Amino acid sequence: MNCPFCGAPLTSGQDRCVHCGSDVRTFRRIKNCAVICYNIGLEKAKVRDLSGAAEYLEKSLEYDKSNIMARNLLGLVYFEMDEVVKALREWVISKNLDPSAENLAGTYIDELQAHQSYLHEVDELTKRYNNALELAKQGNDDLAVIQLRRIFASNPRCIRSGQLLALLYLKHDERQKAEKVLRKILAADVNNTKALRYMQELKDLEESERDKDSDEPRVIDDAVPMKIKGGRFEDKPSIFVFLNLLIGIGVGLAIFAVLILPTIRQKQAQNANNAVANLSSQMTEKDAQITEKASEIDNLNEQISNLQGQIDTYEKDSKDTATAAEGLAGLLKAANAYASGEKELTVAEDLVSLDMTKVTDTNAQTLYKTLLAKTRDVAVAALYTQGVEQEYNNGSFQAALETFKKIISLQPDNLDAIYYCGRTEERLGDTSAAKTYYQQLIKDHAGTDQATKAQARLDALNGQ
Amino acid sequence: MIDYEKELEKFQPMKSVDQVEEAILSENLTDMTDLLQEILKEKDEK
Repeated sequence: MNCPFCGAPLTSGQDRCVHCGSDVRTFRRIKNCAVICYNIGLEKAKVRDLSGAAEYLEKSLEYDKSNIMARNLLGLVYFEMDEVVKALREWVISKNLDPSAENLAGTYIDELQAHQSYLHEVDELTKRYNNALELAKQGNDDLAVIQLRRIFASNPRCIRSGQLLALLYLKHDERQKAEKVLRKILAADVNNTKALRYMQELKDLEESERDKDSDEPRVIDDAVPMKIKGGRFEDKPSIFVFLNLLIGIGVGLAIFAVLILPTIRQKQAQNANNAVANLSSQMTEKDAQITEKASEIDNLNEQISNLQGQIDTYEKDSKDTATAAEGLAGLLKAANAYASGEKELTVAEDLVSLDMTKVTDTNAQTLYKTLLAKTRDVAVAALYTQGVEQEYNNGSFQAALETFKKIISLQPDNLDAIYYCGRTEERLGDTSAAKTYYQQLIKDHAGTDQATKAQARLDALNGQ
Repeated sequence: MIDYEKELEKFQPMKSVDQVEEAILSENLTDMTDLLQEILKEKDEK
């Protein structure tokens, strides 16, 4: 503590300043009052009497504005009552009066500044509260109540919003709701003056109603009117109550049928129409997609068939090429065999077995024909001589038959060989085979000598 | 009985965080010691 006149430090128990000689007893008393108020405020804050604490702490600062602890605690109390601006005000002043690091106000301010989102929320809450207050002052109590109820539900520490909400509930005689809100306020701030006053108002209203009830004349519930026996009017149970009930139900059903049901049906029909329209549009879309896909499939099938045709052509060409190559190779082999002196029969057999239809080269065809003419005719003549003279005439019919068949394989149109085949078969006893050869000659080579002879043999066989 | 309209007038809008500076400047920081000093000063002058 310093002397308020000269600023020199004062030691405890001194009534006068050693430096300037001023009487400091009154100042000591003032400082003591500030300390006492701070202690009471602290005690109240500890038991959550926030309003009471704030009152005493404000008083303490009125005695001594430099009471840093009282100011910091007041800031905390305001913060707990969701009065963030007031809290910040106290802490900023405190920090200004005592900039030392020990001053807790600096920590509080730093904490708040570190949580910008919280400050943003506080701002939003403030705007909503101010809006609700404005609505209430304009008479839009319903909207104000809705707004305040939301604020108080999301933040029960916002005592101001609770107080205003309770006041509006009281105004509209919603006592239970008002009581509920007031109890919440008093849970957060046990001696909140406004809340206590509103609670007292509630009690007064209830008491006045009770008094009003007691002033009314007593109704004797047990009193029962006497029945007059044989009288005109008898006490019968009233059917009007049931009639009224039935009429009420009927009217309700009629209103439902006339006003509500058509609307429901219309809405249902509209929904169904919308659903059908959606489905039909989807179906149209799907149909278009299907048509498109089908067209794509047709195109692809056409491409496949074209490619298959190309493949078939290539395969056929390759087969033809291979056949032609085989024919040429066989021709070369036969030519070599002929040049090296091989027997005409062997060369002719090789040549006859060749497929020269795919060979397009004219030189190769000429060579084939030349070789075939030179070898086959010689071979056939030799075989014929062998078959007739050496085998058939000597009774070697089986060997003769093989020889004649070989001639036919070399020269299918050799009529003598065919005839002798028939004759040989006849000699061997196979008349059926013999007839076949004879019929072949008669049918395919009519008018020839061999056909005439065959006819004679056939007649002879048939005549047996 | 509470007069609701008068009671409603007692409710004042809350200050937003932006108005802290204004709140600080409007704070009367005169305490009992300041008043006593003024009184003594006036007395000395007389």
